[in-house]
Amino acid sequence: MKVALMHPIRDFETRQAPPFLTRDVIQDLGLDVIFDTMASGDSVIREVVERAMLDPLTEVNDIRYRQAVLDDVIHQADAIQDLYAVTKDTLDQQKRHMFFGITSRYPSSVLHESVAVMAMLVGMLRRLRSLGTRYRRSFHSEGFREFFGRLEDELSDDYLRTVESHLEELDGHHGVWLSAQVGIGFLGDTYVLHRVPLGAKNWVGRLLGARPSGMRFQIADRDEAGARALSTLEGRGINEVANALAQSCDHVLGFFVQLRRELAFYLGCSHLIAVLAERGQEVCWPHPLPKDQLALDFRDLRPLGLCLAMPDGVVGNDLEADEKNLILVTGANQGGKSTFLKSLGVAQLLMQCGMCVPAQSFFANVVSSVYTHFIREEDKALEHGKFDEELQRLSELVDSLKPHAMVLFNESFAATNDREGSALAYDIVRGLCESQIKVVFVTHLEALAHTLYREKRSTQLFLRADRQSDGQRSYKMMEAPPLYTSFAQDLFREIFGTELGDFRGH
Amino acid sequence: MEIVYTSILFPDSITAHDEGRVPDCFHDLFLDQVVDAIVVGRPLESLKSFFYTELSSLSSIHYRHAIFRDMTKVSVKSAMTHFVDRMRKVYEKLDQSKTSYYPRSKQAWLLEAVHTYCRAVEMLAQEIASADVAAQGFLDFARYVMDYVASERFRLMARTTKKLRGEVTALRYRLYIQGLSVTVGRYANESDYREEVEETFSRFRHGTPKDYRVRFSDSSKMDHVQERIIGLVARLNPELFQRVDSYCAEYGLAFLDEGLAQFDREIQFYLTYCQFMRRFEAQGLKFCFPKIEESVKEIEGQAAFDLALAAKLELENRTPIPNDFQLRDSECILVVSGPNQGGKTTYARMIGQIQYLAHLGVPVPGQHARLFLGDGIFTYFDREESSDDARGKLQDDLLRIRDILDRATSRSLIILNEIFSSTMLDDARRLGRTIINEIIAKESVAIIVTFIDEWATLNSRTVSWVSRVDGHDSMKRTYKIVRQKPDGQAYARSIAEKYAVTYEAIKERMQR
Repeated sequence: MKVALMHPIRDFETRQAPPFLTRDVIQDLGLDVIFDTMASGDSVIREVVERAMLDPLTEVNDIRYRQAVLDDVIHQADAIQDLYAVTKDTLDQQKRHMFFGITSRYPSSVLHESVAVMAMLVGMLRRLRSLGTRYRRSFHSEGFREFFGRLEDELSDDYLRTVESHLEELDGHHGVWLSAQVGIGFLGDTYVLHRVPLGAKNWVGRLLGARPSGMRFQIADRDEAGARALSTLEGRGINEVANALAQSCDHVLGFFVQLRRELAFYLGCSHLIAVLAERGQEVCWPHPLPKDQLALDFRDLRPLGLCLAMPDGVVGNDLEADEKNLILVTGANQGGKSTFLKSLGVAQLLMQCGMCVPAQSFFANVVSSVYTHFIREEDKALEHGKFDEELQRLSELVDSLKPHAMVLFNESFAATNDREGSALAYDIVRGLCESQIKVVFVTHLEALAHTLYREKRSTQLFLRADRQSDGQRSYKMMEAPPLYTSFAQDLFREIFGTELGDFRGH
Repeated sequence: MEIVYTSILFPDSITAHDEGRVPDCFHDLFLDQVVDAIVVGRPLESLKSFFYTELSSLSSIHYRHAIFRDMTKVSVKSAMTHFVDRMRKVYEKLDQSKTSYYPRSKQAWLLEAVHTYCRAVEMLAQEIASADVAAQGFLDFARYVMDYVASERFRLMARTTKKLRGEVTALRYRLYIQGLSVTVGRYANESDYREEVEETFSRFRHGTPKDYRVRFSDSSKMDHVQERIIGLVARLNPELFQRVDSYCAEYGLAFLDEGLAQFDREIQFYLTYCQFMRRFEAQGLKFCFPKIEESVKEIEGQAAFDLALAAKLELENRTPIPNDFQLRDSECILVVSGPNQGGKTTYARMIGQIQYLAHLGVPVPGQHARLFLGDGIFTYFDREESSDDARGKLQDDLLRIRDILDRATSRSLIILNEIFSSTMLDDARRLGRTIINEIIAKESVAIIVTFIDEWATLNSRTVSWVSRVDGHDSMKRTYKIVRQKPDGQAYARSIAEKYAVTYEAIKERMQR
C-alpha cells in the first residue's frame, strides 16, 4: 500500500545521505533559513523539505502532480492536520511499546511483541480509514483522490477482522503446533509452525496417533538445561512466523512513517506560503518546461531569504533568458549580484520540488540538479592553498555532474590573479556549456568576461548590476556588456597575445 | 589380483620421508615463510613435512613434474580438489561421531561420514576416468581407484548407505509443545502458518525488510530433549531404526580404504602448491619446470623472483621485480655487489629458493630455469643474535664458514650473504680471497653477496652481478640485478647522496 502523495507512482524515497555537494548548495543559497521557516520547529518537516528540495523532480508531469496536491493541502488545512495527527500518534505509541528497540534473542518474545504492536496498528488503520471516509470528497488532486481510494479498498472491515483473528491465535495460549524433519545428525530440521487445529484439546490424541501417552514426555521442573533446549526447539519452530509478523509490523509502521513524511513536506510548503502571505509577498505557480528546452523567463523574481528577513525593501528582477546556457553577471560590488544568483538557484529548486515561487511569473526548463561553486570568505585572501581547494572542490563537483544540470558560480577562481583565473575559468565555462550544463557566473574576472563577450554567441547572456548615475544601487540586473577597464588590456595581450582594442565599445 | 597403492609423491622409496625435520637452510632462505604461505588453511600436519623432503633422483623429480603438468588441466585439478574437500568433510563427520555422547547421534554421524566418503570415492572415480591424465602416477592411481570402486564390498556399502540415509531423512513428524510437555506424532500434510501471515500483510510490503529471525548457533550436537524426540520417532518407525543399528555394527569400525586415505594426504602437496602458484600467476608472474642437469653445473634463470617477497607484496597488490641469474661454462661463483637496499639479499635468497624447490619437483618461480642435481644448500646469513663485539662476531662468522666448507661437496650450493660486513676492509678483502679460493677448490657452486666488489674479479671462475640504480636518479632503486662489471661509482654516489655529501648537495648546503 503506497502513500504516493509526492510522486504519482512511487513513495518519496529518502536517499541514503545527501551528497557532500548539497552541503555547499545549502550554505551558498542560504537554504537553512528557508527550511527552518518551513519546519517551524517540526524536525520531521525539517528533514523532509530538505531532502525534497535537494532531490529535484525532473519530469514536468511530476511537478504538476505535486503542485495539485499542494493546492489541496493549502485549502484543506484541518483535514491535513487530522491525518498528520494519526501518523504522529501511531509513531508515539510504537515508541512506547519499545518494540524492536531491543533485538530479542528469543523468537517467542519477538512474536509476542509483534502481536502487541500489530494490535495497536490495526486500531490506527481503522482511525485513518474513517478520516478518509469523512474527507475524501473535499479533495481534488489526483494524488489525494487515489490515496483515499486505496484506504477504502485495502482496509475493509473484513480485512481488519482477519488480521485480528490471526493475532489472537498467534498469542500462543493453545500450545505450539509444529512439524519437523529428521535432519543431518538425526537432529530436528526444517521446523514449520502450523495453525492450531480446531477444537485442539480433544483432538490431541487423534492427531498424534494411537498411543498419545507413550508418545509424550515431560521435562522435569528442575531440569534447566532441558527447559532451555525445549525453548530453543520451540524458538526454531516459531522463528519464521515471528519474523513474518515482525516484518509485517515494520511494513505497516513504514506506511505510517511514509505518510507522515509526505504530509510533513506539504505542511512545510503550506506554512512557508502562509508566512510569505503574512509579509505581503506574492507567490505564483511556476511553469516547468522539459529539460531539453532551454528556458528562463520571469517577472519580479524576489530573493526568498530577503522576503522572509526584511520583506519591505525587497527588489524583484525580470529576465528573459530563453535558449541561453550561459549567463554572465558582472558589475558593481554590493550591486545585488550574489543575491540575484541565489534567487535563481532557489527558484529553480522551489519549482522542482513542487513549490510556489516568490515572483509574478516564472518559466524555466527543469534541470537535473543545481550545483553551486561560490567563493568562500576564506578564499578571498590570495593564497595558493585556497586556489588548490577551489579547484579540488570544482573537481569533486564535476565528478557528480550530469547533463542538464545547472551550475552557479559566484566569484570563483578569484583566489589567483585575473590572468590565471580568467584563463582557467574560460576553459571551465566552455567545457561545461558544451556538455549541456547551464551556467550562471557572477564574476569580476575581466578577461573572462571580455573573451566571452567578443565571441558573440547567441546562447550567452550578459547582465550587469545596475548602478545609477548618482552611484545609488538599484539591485536590478540589466542586460549589458561587461564593463571594461584599461587594466584588462594589458592582461589580454599578455594572456592571449592579441589586442583588445577592436572590441572596445561593445 | 589386487592392485596396491603407489605413492603419488614418492615413487621409488617405500620409507617416504623424514617426518618433521626442517632443513637447515629453511630459515635463511625464508622457505619457512614460503611453506607457511603454501599450506595456509590446511590443517594437515604431515603436509608441511612433504616440503621438508628433498628428492635425490632425477626420476622422482620428473615423476612429480608429470603430475604437475596434469594438474594444470582443469579436469584433473578439479577432480583432485573435489576429492580432498570431500575427504575433509568425511573426517569432520567421523570425528563428530566419535565425540558424540548419545548413541543415536553417534549413529547419525557415522552414517553421514560413510555417505560422504562413498560420494567422494564415486565422484573421484567418475572424474578421474573422464579427466585427461598422462602422468604415470595418475595412471597407476586411476587403475587403483577403478578397481576399488568396482569391488563388491564398496558397492554394497555405497548402496546400503544411500538407501538408509534417504529413508531416515525423509521422515517428518509432528511436535506438540504445551508448557514443558512434548508430544511426538505422525505428520499429516499441513500448511505453513508463515505463508498465511505473509499473505495477510502483503499489501503493506515494501523495500527489503529487516530480518528478525533469531540466529540459532548451528549446533550439530544433540541434547537430551532431541535424544528423547528421536527416540520417539524411532518408536514410530521401529523397523527402519533396527536397520540403522545393524548398519552401524557393520561399518562402524572400518570403512576407509588405506590407500585412498594416503592419496588424500599426498595429493594436497600438489594442490596447495598449485593454489599458491595461481596467486602469483594471476598477477602476471611466471613459473616453469626447471631443467635439472646431472653432469653439468651451470645454473641459469630468467625472470625469476623471490617467493617470500612475492607473497608479502601480493597483499599490497604489487609484484617483485623479476631478475635473471646465470653461471656458465666454468664459472662457479656469482658475486653480487652494488648499492644497499638494491635487492641483493633478496636476489641471493631467490636463487637458493629456486635450487631447493627444484629438488621438491615443483615448478619454480621464473620464466625459464636450469639447475643442477645437488646434495644440499648451505647458507650464511647475518644473524641478529650473534655477538656484538667485532672480534666475537668475526670468530662466529669464521666458525660458521668453516662448518659450511667442511660439509659442502662439489654438488653443493653455498650462499654467503653480506659476509664479513663488520670486519675491517683490509681483513675482509683478504678473508674473502681465501674463502673464494677454498670454494673453487671444492668445486662447489656459490652465490656471494658483498659490498667488496673486487671479489667479483678475483678469478676467472667468479662472475660479477650488480644491483643497478636508476640512470637519472641514483637514489632510486630499480631492484634489477644485472651481469656487469662492478661499478664502484654508483655505489659511492648513492651513499654520498644519502648523506647529502655530493658536490651539488654540499654547495647547496653551504649557501644556506
